[in-house]
Formats: sequence, structure tokens, C-alpha cells
Amino acid sequence: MMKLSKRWKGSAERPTAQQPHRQSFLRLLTVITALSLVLVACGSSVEPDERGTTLTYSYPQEPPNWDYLETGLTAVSGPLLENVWETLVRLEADGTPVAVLAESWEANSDTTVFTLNIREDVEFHDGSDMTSADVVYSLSKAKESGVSRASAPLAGVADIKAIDDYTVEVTLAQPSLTFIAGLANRSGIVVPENFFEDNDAATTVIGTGAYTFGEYRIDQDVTLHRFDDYWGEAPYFETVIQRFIPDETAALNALLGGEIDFVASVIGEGMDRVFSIGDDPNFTLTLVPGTEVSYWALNPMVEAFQDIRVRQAIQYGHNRQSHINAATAGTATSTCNMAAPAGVPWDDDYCPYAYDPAKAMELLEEAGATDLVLDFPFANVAWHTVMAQLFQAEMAEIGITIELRSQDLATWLDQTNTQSQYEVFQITSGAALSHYRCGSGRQPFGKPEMADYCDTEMDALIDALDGITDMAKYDAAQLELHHYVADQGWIFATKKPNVPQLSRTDLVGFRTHRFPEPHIYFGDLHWEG
Amino acid sequence: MVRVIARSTLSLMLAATLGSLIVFALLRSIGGDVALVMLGQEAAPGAYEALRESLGLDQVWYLQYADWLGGVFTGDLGTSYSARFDIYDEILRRLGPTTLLALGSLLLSAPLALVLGTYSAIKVKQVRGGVVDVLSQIGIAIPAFWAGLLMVVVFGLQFRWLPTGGYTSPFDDLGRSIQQLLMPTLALSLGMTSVLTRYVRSAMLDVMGEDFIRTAMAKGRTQRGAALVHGVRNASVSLVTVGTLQLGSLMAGTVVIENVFVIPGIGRLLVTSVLGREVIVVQSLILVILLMILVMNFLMDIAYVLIDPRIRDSQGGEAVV
Repeated sequence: MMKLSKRWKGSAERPTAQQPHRQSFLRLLTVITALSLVLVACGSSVEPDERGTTLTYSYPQEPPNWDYLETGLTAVSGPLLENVWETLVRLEADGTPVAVLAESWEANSDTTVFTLNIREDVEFHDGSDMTSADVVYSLSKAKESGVSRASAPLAGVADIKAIDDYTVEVTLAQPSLTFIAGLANRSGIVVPENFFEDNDAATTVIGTGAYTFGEYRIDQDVTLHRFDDYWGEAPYFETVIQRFIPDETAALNALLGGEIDFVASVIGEGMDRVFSIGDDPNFTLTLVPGTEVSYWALNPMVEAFQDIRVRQAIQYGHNRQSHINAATAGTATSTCNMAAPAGVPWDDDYCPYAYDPAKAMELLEEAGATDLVLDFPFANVAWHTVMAQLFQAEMAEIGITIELRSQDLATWLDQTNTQSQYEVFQITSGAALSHYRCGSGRQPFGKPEMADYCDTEMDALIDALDGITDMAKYDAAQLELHHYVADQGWIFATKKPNVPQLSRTDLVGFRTHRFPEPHIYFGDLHWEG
Repeated sequence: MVRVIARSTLSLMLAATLGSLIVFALLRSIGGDVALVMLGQEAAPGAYEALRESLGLDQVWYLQYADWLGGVFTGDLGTSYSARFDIYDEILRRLGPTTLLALGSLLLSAPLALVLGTYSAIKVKQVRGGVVDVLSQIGIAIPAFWAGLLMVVVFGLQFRWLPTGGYTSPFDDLGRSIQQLLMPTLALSLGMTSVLTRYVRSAMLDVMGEDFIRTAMAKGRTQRGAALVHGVRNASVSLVTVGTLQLGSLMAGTVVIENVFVIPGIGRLLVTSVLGREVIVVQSLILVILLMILVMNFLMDIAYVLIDPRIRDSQGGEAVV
């Protein structure tokens, strides 16, 4: 074959054979150019700067379903709380409850009986009018819920009854100064009477908010439409589309490409890019104050932890700032206080065991715990992997060996969070410290197997909160509880994450806070100018 | 032919059933279930047990599996535990984007590989042939997700020619659908094109040494003419063989690409279902993916017969590989 090729190469046919080659090349070039033109033509329909009445944004999580009394994940509330579902009250940035569906309220002198005056002009999305019967029904269902966000604030409720069509009376077993504020969460959502019996709450959403629940495409998006018969002021945007984009790189690219108007939260791999994008004048980076605390817990059943010096040593060896820098690009707030959300009156900078590795080693030596090996299973989501690796490194510096076990969320929820198969535990939660008492279901003292190891002093401080009827005394008692927990070292906080949000600069009207449960309020959003 | 198809169908159905059983066992063994995922870390005491009971997860494992398997034989794949969607309908909905992606990638890769591989073989001693060879090696080395991200940066963010992700059905908006699928299809086909190019090149180099090529050239055909008329068809058999073997990789590639480009296909459903412990959804998906591979294998079998008349003539079309 080679011989033939060589012979042809020098033959007289060769120059004429070149002609079709050139033609083929030209044809190929034409095809490529045509394809490029098609691409450019297609590209012209990508409009990055459109300012319509449809708001599109991305949220990283998708809820398993929309039943707020069955699904605990905050992804349920993300787009719906305050927008589709309304609560009896909502909280201002300083934690003060303000009226929503409850127009006003009164409490008796010892704060055991609350009278709620319900708005008379509210219509549900199904066309029915809201009355006190709906409120009684909704509160009763929330009290029975398996989701503690819904049931915990109503745990002390002894009786709920309708006085008339627009008045509801709630009686508590013990005085509570926080009962009304507790109604700003899922516990205070009002749905039509018999909603859960007449509908599949997993797929049907009926509320009273400014938006109705529209199309839900699993794994794609959920669309909300403006409710024409809304009792309050109509929002600017007619349609809101929340796209589920778990990959933060993809979400940020969609923002930069003009396909969405804002990215609601960046907590994972996208963290590295938030500042560079925020430097672009077309986009605004907002650090939304956190509603949660990232904290660690030590298993009370582990013998070595019975010595408080070991617990103290672990905290002395823990460098909070390095966690904040590595896991959140410096966006979180360092804390030793379990107070959530940030800014409540008992949130201070008390930190009994600040980073001091030399002191840590000294305490371990004193306690005779120089060869500790601890099992640390962690959920490999968000920043937890980075924090786990850092914790392992900083504990190694003081002579403690941390054996890491990476788990996906479901496995972690099962083996670590539910079955207590850990020695060191780490989580981010927005639950109040008063929900951590013995038997509460929360680590480290709330599980049944921990019953013999509960901190009775902590439980007494928690129980004492319920009987206080003076706000100043209540704040002081909360502070005492939080300082006590920090001192004991069974539970210790690291950071209060502030959630980076990136939005188009001309999109304004964002709330400065998202508590009590992370959600985005669309009511005030509009284009600037 | 019919017997062969029936046999391969049966064996794949058995493999699918066995696969679903293994998946079922694996998901149970790694811990966590859909009730825990639904309740999250904020579950009230006793809520988990109550939810398990209401979802039917408190039944013994073999009854749960038998329930699902019984449904499969009656065409009912069941309802997802948490989102309450009909699994059959949802899979059908997801098949659209995945099929477009996989098929588009295959249809792009195969002819391109045939052209490039043949060209590279014909120009084996020239720089142009070497360039194709080097490019195909680079294509093999580049992961699909990375190629996808690179395309997003260039065509989505720099030039803004194409959307960075998402999916629109071609029945709703054909133009938008093409825009959105172009980059993922190209990214997915990059690796496959490169692999197939290498195989076609190798096959063509073998074929070019055959007697019938020499004969064709002796009769006056140019080298290129002999290669195109007689060589390509012979080399295509190996293209089909390798293409069939690449189907598994193609399906795996769609899982990654669907996540990069936020396409609601089978791959994304599989990932979210595994993470959400939607066991019966995962089992059903495994079954469907195996069936998809069966169908594509079947199409490849037909392609063999069409490409190589010796196979068709030898045993009346029954001697498929």
C-alpha cells in the first residue's frame, strides 16, 4: 500500500486531485460558518437585562413535599412562608411580633390565657373566608405535628377555642412570654378548616398570602401567581418562579447569564465566587443575618467526657475563626453562645474557653486523657466536610485523634442524629436552646438512650423560663441558661452563619432578615427606579 | 432473530429484577429512610415511628419489595413516598430530556467519529492525521462535566449565545429547547466521539491493509476512494461494537451532565431519589435504565445486520453477535 501511495504522489494525477480537496474544505468551512451564525441567532434570545413582572430566582434545596406539618426541611418554607402561607404574626428584625392574620392580641396578667383577634377581611386561595374556626383547626393540627418547628411552640397549649367568628382564646398550662412570637413560624400558619382531611397536603397548598401556589415541576421549579383577592397590599411581581438548582456553580452561572434575578443562598462550593461576583456593579452581595448556629456536641455516654477538663480542652483546642474563614469565606460570625437567631437579647460574646491549644494540652495532661481517639461521623453537605477536616487537624495539634466518617444526609440522620452512634457530633440548627432539654429528641441529651445522662441543672434552667412573667427577668434567665451551657462544654457553638445572597443590583426591597425559619419575602421586591 | 431478541430481553429483565433487588438491599444497608429525610433534624419524639407507619415502611422488607415487584408486572410502579408522584408518569416525563441528550450525543458522535477516524487513518503519515489523533486523545482525557463548564463560561457567560442551563420541551418551544440542549449534548458527546474516533481509526488502518482495498486501488480507485467506498463499511462494525459498549458510560455521563446543566432527566431523578431514600423510585429507575440499554442494544443488533451483509446472509439474519 505504501508503495502505491508513493507512486501516486508523484504521478500526473496529483495536481487535479487537489481541487476536490479544496472544494471539500470550502464546503466544510461554509457549514461551520452557517452553524456559528445559527448559534449567534439562537443566542440573541438570551436577554440578560429584562425587567418584567416575573421574578425568577434559585434556591438550592427542594422539599420532599409541601406538607409543612410532615416535612421538616426548611426548603418547604423557603418560597411559601409569608408569601403563600401566612402566619398569625410575624417577627420584625429585632424579634418583636407584629400583626398579620391576628389583628391584635391580649394576654391575662400571668400570661396563661391569650385572646387573638382575627382579621375579618381575609380570603383563602380557595375562595372561602377565614374565620376563627380555621385558626382553631390550624393551631390544633400544628400542635399534633411530628415537625417540632410546628409543634414545639404550641407544646404548652392546654386549650384552644373560638369565642366568636373572629376571636380565638388559647390557654396555656404554664405562663409564657414567648407564645405570641412562637406563632410567627409554622405553628401559626392558618389553613382552611379540614384542609388536611380534604386535600393531599403533600401536593396541595392553600393559604391566605399575596401569592397562590401555581405549577410545581419536580426537580425544576415552582411558580407562584399574584392573588387578586389578597387582603393586603398587592406585591409588584405578578409571577415568582423559584428554580431548584442544587449545584451552586450552575446557579451562579444562571445569574451571570441573566437567566435568574437572584441566588437566594450560597453555602457550598459557590462560596469562593461570591465576593468576585459581588464586586461587579451589576450584582449586589448581601449577607443575610443567620437564623442558625453551627455547634458541636459531645456524647454524654463517653466516659472520657465525664471529666469537664476534657470538654474544656476540646474547646480550647477549637479555633473558631479558622472554621469561619475556611468554611464560609469569612462571612459567618464567630460565637460561643448558642443563642439563635443572632441578635436576641441573650446573644453576647461570652466565651469561657477561647482558642488556646497550650491550655488544652495542659488540661488533657491533668485529666490523664492524652491518647483520646474519637469517632466523628459528619453529614457531607454544605460546609460540614470542611469543618470536619479542620476539626480533625486542630484536635491532632492537642493530641486528640479524630476518626472521620463521611455520611450522606439520610445516613447521618439515621445513624448519627437518631441512633446516637457518635462521640463527636456537629450540626447547624436554628432551634432555641430551650428545646434541648432531656427527652426533647435533640442531641446530645434529648434521645431516649441519653435519659440517664441528662443535665438536670440545664433542664431546671429551661423549665424556669416558662414561669417568668417579666421580660427583663426572662432575658436574664435566658442569658444564665446560655452561659451555663457554654461553661459545661457538652454543647459548644462555633459560628452563626450569615447567608450570602447575590442579586441583580436593580432588584430592591429585600428584607434584612429571614427568621424564624429561613424564607424569602417577595412582597416588597421591585425594580429600582 | 426473534429468538435472540427474546433471549436477550429475558436475560435483561432478570438482570433488571436482580439489579433492583441489589439496589433495595444496598439502600437499606447504608441506613436512613425517606421518613427521616422528610422529617429532617427537627423531628419531634415519636414522629419518625408514626411517619414510617403511615408510609408503610414498618412492613418487613420482603413484603415491601414484593409489593413493588407485583406492581411492576401489572404496569404500576407505585407512588413516591414523599412527593407522592406517580413513578411511571414521572419517569416517562424524565425520559424525554435524557433520551434527547443521549440520543443526540450518540447521533452526533457516531458519524463524526466515522469521519474523523477515517480521515485520521487515511492521513496517518501526515500532520493532519496526527492532529486528529492528538485531539481525540485530548477528548478522551477531558471529563464531560469539565467540558460542559468550559462551554458555559465561553458560550453562556462570555458571548451569551446560549443559556447556561435548564430544559424546555421541544414541543413547547423548539428554538429554546435546541439552545438549552446544545451545550450538554456537545459536552456529553466529546468523550464518546473521541473514543469512537480512536476505534474507527484503528479499524480503518486494519482494513486499509486488506486485499480488497489493494484490489480496489489496483482497479483505479484512489486511496481515499477505496477507503470511503469499501473501508468505512467494514470499519463500521467495530464502531457499532464499541458504541454498544459505550452505552453504559453514556448513561453515567447523562447523570453528571444533567446536574451541571440543571436538566430534569433520569439522571437527576436517580441522584435525588438515592439521596432522598426513595427506594421504589430508585428500583424503578434501575429497571428503566436497563430497559433503555436493552432497546439500544437491540438497535445496535439491527445496525450490525444492515452494515454487514455477511451477517445477514450467513444465517438469515440470526447470527447477531
